[in-house]
Amino acid sequence: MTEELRSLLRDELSAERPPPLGDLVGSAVRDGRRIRRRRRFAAAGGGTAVAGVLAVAVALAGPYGTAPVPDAGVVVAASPSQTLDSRIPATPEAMLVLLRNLLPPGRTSDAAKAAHSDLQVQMSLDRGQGPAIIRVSVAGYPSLPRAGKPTVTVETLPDNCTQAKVVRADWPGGMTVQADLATCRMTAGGSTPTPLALTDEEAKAVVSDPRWGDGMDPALVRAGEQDFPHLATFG
Amino acid sequence: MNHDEDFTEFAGACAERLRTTAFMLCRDWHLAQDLTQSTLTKLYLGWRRVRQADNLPAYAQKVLVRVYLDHRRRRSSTEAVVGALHEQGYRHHPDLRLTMLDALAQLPPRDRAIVILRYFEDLSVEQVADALEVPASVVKTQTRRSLERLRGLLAADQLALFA
Repeated sequence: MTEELRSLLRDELSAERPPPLGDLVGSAVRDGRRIRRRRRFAAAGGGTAVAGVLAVAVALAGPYGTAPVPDAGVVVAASPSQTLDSRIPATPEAMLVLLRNLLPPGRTSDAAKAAHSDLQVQMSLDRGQGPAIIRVSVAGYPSLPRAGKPTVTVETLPDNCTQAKVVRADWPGGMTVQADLATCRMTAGGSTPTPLALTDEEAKAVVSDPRWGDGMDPALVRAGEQDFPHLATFG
Repeated sequence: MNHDEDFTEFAGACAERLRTTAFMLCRDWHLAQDLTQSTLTKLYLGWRRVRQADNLPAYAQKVLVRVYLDHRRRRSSTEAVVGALHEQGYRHHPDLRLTMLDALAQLPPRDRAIVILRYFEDLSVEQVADALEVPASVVKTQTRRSLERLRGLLAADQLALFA
């Protein structure tokens, strides 16, 4: 029975038309390296904060150690919430408002949020050549302050039409904003080719916007509630 | 061979198969791609320990199933319940004949994982129990129940498989 069942499943799977595997392994390695870097960064940050507390305590205690040790809260660096206190928790709807605002002129459609992540959305942009899908995700440490400028990279994956271009902004604080530009739409009958929604420069401008994060401007969140009250999900 | 080369060689060899398993679990190629990538990332992060596993492909399947079940758990709080399938209708109308994959999709996520790991990935009861962190007795019971349910869903000509 086992072999027959397996054979039936194999037959059915062979009738499927899976999208190309793409650079799945490379993406996993890059994600793994990024997570590992951030873990080291977080560990180093924690160590620095502890060292700071100890240094201040020693300074205040003086040579005889008689002064009271201060609360750790007095000397630990300001928390991200203190520096981004005007922001409120991001929503997929607010991300879609921001994405729509950042896109060049064209007709937008297919707004949706990821089923497995609160910080990933998609939208199609039609600039006269048919709708093309853009997915934007925020990952890493989006709560940390965004000092400086992001490092922006553009990667082309020729054998992966759902991520034909991957444009990523890596912020010094550890947040990553990624836009996946598709050159196909998956339908029940397979995939249909589409143009890329954005040029490299346009996509770079989208991912580099400092308003992305797990906290967003309250006005964007309110606009999201109004403009996308019933959002579809993908994934 | 260094850490990354070692991992890349293994991942390159098993990625396609992992994605196929993921697809059988979720019936969505895009999600299958995401689940596979998450699985490979987890394997990469723990590679020094992971590479010591006796059966690396089985270990990778175990990680994949956990990633899938975690995904389902997170999603279940926001997911609307869809109407129940009219099973008898499928059995009596040849045009509505269910495929095995359709029938599998009617099983609860954990039971689906059990059937796929047992009958497609050919893992033992003990390996499936380990992957899902349930007693072996639960795997046996749920396998029996799931096969009964599949029998109820599939057309007569497919039932010969369960004879």
